[in-house]
Amino acid sequence: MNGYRPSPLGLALAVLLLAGIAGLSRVPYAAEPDDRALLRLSWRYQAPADADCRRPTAEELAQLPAHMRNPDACVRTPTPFRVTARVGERWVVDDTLRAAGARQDRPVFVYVDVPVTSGWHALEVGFTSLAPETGGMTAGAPAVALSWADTVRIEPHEIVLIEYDRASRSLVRVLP
Amino acid sequence: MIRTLVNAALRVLRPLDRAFNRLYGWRFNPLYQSGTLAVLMFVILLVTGVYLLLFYRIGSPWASVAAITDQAWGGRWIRTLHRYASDAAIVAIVIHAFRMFAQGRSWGPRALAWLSGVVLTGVFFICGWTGYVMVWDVHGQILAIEGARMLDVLPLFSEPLGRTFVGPEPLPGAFFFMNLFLHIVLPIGVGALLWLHLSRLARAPLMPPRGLAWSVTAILLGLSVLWPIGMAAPAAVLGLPTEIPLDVAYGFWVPISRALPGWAGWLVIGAGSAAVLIVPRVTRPKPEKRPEPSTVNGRFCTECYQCSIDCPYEAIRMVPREDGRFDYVAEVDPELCVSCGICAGSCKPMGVGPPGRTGRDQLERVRQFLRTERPGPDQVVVVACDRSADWLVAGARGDAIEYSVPCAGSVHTSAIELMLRRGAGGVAVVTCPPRDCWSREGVKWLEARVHGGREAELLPRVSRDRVRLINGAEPGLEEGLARFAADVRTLDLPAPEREVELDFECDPVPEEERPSVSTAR
Repeated sequence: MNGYRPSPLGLALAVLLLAGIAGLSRVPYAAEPDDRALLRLSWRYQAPADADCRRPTAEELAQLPAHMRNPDACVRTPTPFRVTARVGERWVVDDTLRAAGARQDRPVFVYVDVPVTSGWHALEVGFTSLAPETGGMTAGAPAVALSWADTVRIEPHEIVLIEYDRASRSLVRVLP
Repeated sequence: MIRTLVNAALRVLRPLDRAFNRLYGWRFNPLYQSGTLAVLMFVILLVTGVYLLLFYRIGSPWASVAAITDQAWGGRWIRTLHRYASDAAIVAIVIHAFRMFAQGRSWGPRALAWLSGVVLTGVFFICGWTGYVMVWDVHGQILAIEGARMLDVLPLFSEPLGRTFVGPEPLPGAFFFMNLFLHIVLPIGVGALLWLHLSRLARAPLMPPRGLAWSVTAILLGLSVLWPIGMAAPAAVLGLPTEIPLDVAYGFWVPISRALPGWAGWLVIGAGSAAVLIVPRVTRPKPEKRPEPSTVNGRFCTECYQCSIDCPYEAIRMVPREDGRFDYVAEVDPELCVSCGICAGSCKPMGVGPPGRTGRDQLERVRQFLRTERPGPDQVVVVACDRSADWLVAGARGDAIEYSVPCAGSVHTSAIELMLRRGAGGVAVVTCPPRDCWSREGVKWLEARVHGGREAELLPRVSRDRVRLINGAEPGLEEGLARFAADVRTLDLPAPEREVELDFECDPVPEEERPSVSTAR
């Protein structure tokens, strides 16, 4: 092999070094403490926006490019939402969320992790629409008030996942 | 501050180099071969990756990898070798970067190699990341979730990416397809960046010496067979990972990231990246201390092409000349020249080199040296560069007279001839190990000029018994010098010449060996 004659010590060290690299590829890492669990709120909600609509005149429509001639011209005011969560007596989440997207025309995305200890907990989650911040309401967005509450025993390393169920239009706990 | 850091890094590197030289010899010192070893690992990754790709299923990632791992005669060790090679590549890259930093080989024309190397490392790292996510075990899941958490801080996506990895539905196949696509495409990017990384080097070696390459591969293969990796638990949506077999090379940041808010993680990444990317700027010497690039004195250039061939950085090209003496003249691109001075040793008529270090400048310095030191016929002059002198531990010189040069590889053979004809008994040139020549190919060309008849050669009239090239990294430097001095004392030496006439005639490189010339000026 090209005159390569490593000393036994050199060979042993090479094996040791490469074995070290191999060993470092599987270092046990305790990602979470033993009694850690999680309350996870994760859902998307297509928020109905308040829309102030009117029908443009024929002249107005004619001035627009063909692909932009929408028969209804609406000024939409997205509805903000309040998401809350309580573990026992402690409020752990109280956020105001708005619809995503630059024009706020995408759904509201809820994604919050709340670390909890394992054991029995009274959990309460709420998702309610707030009054629109601006504009009048013609199309009118119905008020939303969703909630979920239960007293559950959470196992160590368990994730209690709360989602929005579109079929029942309610917050539900996803069970394994 | 940065100079202190560089010096400290060099102080760490030197003893390690010496220790590894003792163990493996300079030819196979893995520290000298860190860059080529990284490429070797990349090749192993490509070969083993192709096999793994045949059995991977995006519809059932964890189960298909588990099936591969169950193949006791193939998949298990191939997957393990794939993993070990990816880790060894990261280690080799880190050593390579540290080496370049410690040796100050990161600024000026080398900045491109440094910066492309940083990007290359980043792409390589992301490629490894996608590889872990492909498995979709708890390790891959935590890498994916942490990565998503970091990305969710940026105002890029309207929907939090983290939501992709939660919920009762299985992850869409599109996610694993995208991941697999990246894992295949990114190595193409690595190849392209590697080309850029090496683009300013002439004759860049890609592979380590065969013996070292086979040895490292064999050891990794043995470890893969004897100590295969198993399967971590599959990713779980409704459970927190308990204990993860973390790969430090690719997951070292996870514990740090999990302890920090997402924006702080970006702050750390930004600061770290900036610190690495500004290395070429901060390690660059001040203008007054910066070595000047080589220049060509057209009057002496005889169109032999040798300097343009020998330049390790492809900084010299032949361009048409207009004075009618020859067709072409050498031209140095100052943007590419690192001022190594190799061209000064390559040019027989001494028409090229960094200011103050051309062959003619070398002769003038030698004359001054001979006037003050007056070496006798029983004395040896030890020529050593600033770096190779490091090998000359106290006492190694004996009664030899030391003559220091910026780079032993740039020593002109006429300078050696002049020393001998003016009375020195012998000349020993102590060089760095060829694989660790800071000017890349200086030692190789010097040896070819002294013993191989390469252009700008040491003329046949100079007795080779009186010249010795000594690799400082070879064992027994002290004894070698003492033996040479003793040998010289036994020689029947001619009387010193008062007026020495040197031969500046250059033999042109045969036409078929010439590089292509540039017609642009």
